[in-house]
Amino acid sequence: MDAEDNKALKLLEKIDKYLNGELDEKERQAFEAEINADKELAKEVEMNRIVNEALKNKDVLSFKEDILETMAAVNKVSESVTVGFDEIGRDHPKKYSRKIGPTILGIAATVLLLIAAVFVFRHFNAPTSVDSLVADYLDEPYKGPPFYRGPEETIAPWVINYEKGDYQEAKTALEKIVASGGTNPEASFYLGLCYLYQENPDPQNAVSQFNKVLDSDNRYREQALWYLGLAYTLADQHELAAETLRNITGFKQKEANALLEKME
Amino acid sequence: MKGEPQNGYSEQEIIQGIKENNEGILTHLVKKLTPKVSHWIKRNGGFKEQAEDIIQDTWMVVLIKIHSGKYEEGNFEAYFMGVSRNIWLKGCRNNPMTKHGDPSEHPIKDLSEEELILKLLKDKRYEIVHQKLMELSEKCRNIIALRYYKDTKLEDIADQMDISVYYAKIKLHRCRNYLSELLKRDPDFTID
Repeated sequence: MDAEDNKALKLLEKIDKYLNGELDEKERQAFEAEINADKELAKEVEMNRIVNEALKNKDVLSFKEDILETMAAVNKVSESVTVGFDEIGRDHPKKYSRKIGPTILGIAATVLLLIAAVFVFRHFNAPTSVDSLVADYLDEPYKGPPFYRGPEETIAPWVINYEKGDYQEAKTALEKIVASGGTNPEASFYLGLCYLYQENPDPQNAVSQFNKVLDSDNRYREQALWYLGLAYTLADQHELAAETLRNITGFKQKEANALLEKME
Repeated sequence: MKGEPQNGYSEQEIIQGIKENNEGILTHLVKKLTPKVSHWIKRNGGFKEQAEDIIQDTWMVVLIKIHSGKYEEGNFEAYFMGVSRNIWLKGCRNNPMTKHGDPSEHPIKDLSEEELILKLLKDKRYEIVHQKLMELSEKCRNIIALRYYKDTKLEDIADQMDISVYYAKIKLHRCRNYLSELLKRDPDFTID
């Protein structure tokens, strides 16, 4: 361990002690003065605070999905009954309509649209050129997660394998992560991609993973919608593919329109 | 009274109904609790919008307790009211959970349980920490899990891993450091 490492370790220990309330009053005051004078240190402390809280409260985060499901049910119920907010407001009696899970309701609406699409596009047949277009789109793999090349021993194998195009290996590791429970849209998203990029693509499993990503509010939603459209196309579910692609408004919208044009 | 029926539903039925998103139970609870909390907030000088927010936040805190198995059966309605009062009185409404300014304003020890739960649920950065954790090697994840999830002392970690305490400390530091680097490079993980 070099001097730089040693210094960093000492700082991390001090930050931990500060955040855990283990510094005595004099030390705490001195450290807070340092934080106030040094923006970089303040950022470091803040980041460590978030990391500590996240790590020490894993259970809260792992139940987030269940909570959102029940919150959606509570909001649904709340919309259908008149409750007593009028008692404290100036307004007329009003239905309680504030939603904590608009995303969930949005997803539900999307799912309904997708189901409706099955009937609307009953006789839909995709031309052959659609397949080659999809193959072109899948030729350029989606970038890996934001990556920092640190010491080998600290990097998860799936990240390295995904980066070097070994989707079979990355898939095996990601399947374990996803099976271990909890919500992990990032793992589901990359697992879905591995199913598409592997030598023998498995679009049905990819569909299931991308749908998991769409089940919660996260930063992979837009991307997942595009790849869900591609996965449906590969699985010959062209009606669902078309409806999914129509819902794309951001990521790859131009490509989605091009694909829709080919389909029609 | 503990476990006694509340308007026809027993405590167990209420908890089970919540876990299963039972529409009948949820309707009963929404009809019963929303006016009660609203009325209490009105009496304490609050507004309708604040009552709506407090009720949403209360549900989230209560649901975490129930789903994680940490809710102790007693009287659900009284518990719900207690949590909503705590959230109101702790001034959660005036202290937006998504705000992350001066770190010295919010050291962990000063947060109430309700505040911490709401913050963890509302701030996406906590989810990113767990996503990034999955990008660490198994060894790193293990040592971090031992230290933070299980609150294991460094001496015991060293024993379990058959390494020296000094090396355990360095290893933990390297893993934490790498996790920090991953977070710093993630465009969605911002520190104001």
